[in-house]
Amino acid sequence: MDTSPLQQALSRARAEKTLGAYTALANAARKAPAAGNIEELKIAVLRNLTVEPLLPAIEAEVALSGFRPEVYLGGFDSIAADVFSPESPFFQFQPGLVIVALWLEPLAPTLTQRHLSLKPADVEAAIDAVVGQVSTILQRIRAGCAAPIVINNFPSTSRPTLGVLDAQLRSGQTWSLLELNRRILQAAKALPDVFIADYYGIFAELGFRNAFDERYWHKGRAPMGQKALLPIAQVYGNFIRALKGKAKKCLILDCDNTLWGGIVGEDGLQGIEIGANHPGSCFRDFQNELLNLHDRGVILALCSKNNEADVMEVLTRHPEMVLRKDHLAGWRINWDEKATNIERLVEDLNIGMDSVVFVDDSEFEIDWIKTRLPAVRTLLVPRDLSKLRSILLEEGLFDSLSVTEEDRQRNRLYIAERQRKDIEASAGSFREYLLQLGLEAEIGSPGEMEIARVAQLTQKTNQFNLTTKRYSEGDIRRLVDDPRSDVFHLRLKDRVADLGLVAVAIVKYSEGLAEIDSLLMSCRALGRGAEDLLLAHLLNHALERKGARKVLGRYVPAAKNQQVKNFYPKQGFTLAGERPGSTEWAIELSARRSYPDWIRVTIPRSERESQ
Amino acid sequence: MNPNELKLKQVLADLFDMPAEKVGDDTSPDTVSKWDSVNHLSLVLAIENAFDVSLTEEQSVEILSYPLIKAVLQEHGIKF
Repeated sequence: MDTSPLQQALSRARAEKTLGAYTALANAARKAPAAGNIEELKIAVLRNLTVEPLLPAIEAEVALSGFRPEVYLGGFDSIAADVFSPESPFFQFQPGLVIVALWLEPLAPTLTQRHLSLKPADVEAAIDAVVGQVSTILQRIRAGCAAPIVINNFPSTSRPTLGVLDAQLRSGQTWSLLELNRRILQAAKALPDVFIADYYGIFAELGFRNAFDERYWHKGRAPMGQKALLPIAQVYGNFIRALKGKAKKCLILDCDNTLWGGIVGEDGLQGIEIGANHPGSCFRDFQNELLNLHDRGVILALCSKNNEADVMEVLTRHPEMVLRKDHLAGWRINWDEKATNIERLVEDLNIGMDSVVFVDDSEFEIDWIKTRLPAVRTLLVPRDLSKLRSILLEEGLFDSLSVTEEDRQRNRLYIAERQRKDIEASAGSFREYLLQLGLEAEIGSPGEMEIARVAQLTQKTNQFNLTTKRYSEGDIRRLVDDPRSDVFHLRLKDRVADLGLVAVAIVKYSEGLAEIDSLLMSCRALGRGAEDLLLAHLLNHALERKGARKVLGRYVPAAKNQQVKNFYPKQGFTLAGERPGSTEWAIELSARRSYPDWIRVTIPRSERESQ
Repeated sequence: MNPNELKLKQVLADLFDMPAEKVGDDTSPDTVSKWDSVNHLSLVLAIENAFDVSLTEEQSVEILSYPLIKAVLQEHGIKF
């Protein structure tokens, strides 16, 4: 058992979720040895308010996401000095994430203090002025660094001066704050990799009487009350986890008293509670939220001690059920203990144990999973069933920064995978099986339609990923535009389903040399030889179009990419060097490499013509 | 030791990054280097968070040592 001070502080913060435990974790994380195997995350905070009480909680969130925090804190209200000079300490810090924390009042005192003195046209002008300032800050940061930026919108902190009348007005205080936030979102969207931390939403959830601390606003320009610090820090944590591929991907659910009220084996199909009336309505709402997660690309599966036939009957025949068999990527319904069942499910679905969330109503089962599978995040069904739906959303466990078409399709793909396994069972040799699948691939360079998905794949892929480099949309766009690098994406479909964009390679060129910066593939495309195809394509491209005579590849071990440790030697590369934390592999290019014969390949016309 | 005393010592220990056993009657900005004006603000927020109280403006200025924090918390009905 690891009992380093950092591990102890992490456990305490996870268990307690208090400001004190978070502060202690921030202290421990700052002291953790820099030479350790924990990756560093450099965060720059630019602000026009006192964020010091919030900062330890943000550092704790960084540590909870598995990184060692290093923080650059811009001077109070000196954003301009930091963003207008390319040599500023802010740019020299080379942040991996930029947090811009702005409070409205210093930017537009009249708007907050004397709104009533403004004519409608003046209100619009004041909003324009704030948006102008914010846009300039964002543009200057973006011009000097490519790191993702998280900027907040503005919360409501008081009742409007005009009381009930305000909400009737086209340019009242209520209207102008919403309009301002809409325009801030527009300004953010105008630049790559700028995201909004929704302070308006957080303050609405907590109520401004809880979230806004007038005392310390007046005394020290510190507007956030003690109840707001952890929720705000958690939002930044959710951004970090989404950007760094640490968000949860799969939700495994118990059935009795989790999906419905009662026990199907005892109460029967008619006896369980699900539907319009309490308590069935709590379960129905929960199931609706499960479907929302499903549509966002979260993988749903069941793990229940039950007779499989009983559960299947509920899923297919109960008229009030929202969740149906087709929403599920898999299930283990039997009388075995649940840890083994979850292990098997995770294996079948080809995902990491730490991307799993498990929901059960039994404290015994929850404790069992916590002990046996500590990487799994567990959620206990609350005693008060009306809170059941919200446990899925509270912590933003599944938060991602985009919902791509692939996300919407993902569960359908797992269902197709089940059907594919049937084909596999009936086919003879592996190659015969692959031929029967009728695989078709398309290889291209990402255009605007693909960039979000390509960036997302670099952020989320952990297992088949040679270097585990994470890229933002802006990074990908630059790599595509740069003549010294190429980005390749591969789409794959077979006769059962369209798997979508599943693999990415990034290659950088210098004199006669091509270097494979990234090579990664979604787990759901494993076992079809798509990686052979992508590698062959990039080698041929390097030889024939870039005049490269030699290609270098690197394997950088990470927590979950063991399976590709021997990828390069298997592909005919030879060991070229070993460094701490990586091995380097090389291959001399002389002749064209042939593509796997079981995949029909198309390369878009634009790609071919430019050859 | 009184549980509230333990809790308060932990609040100070977490914030000022010191062992809880070292927190005592002499703990004040004079003896703790990290207890500056910015951290004093964090201290008020941390105490309010841990004991679920809201300090008055006067109290938030008064709490300049461990015994003074206890005295202020006693005014809020927290027993030591």
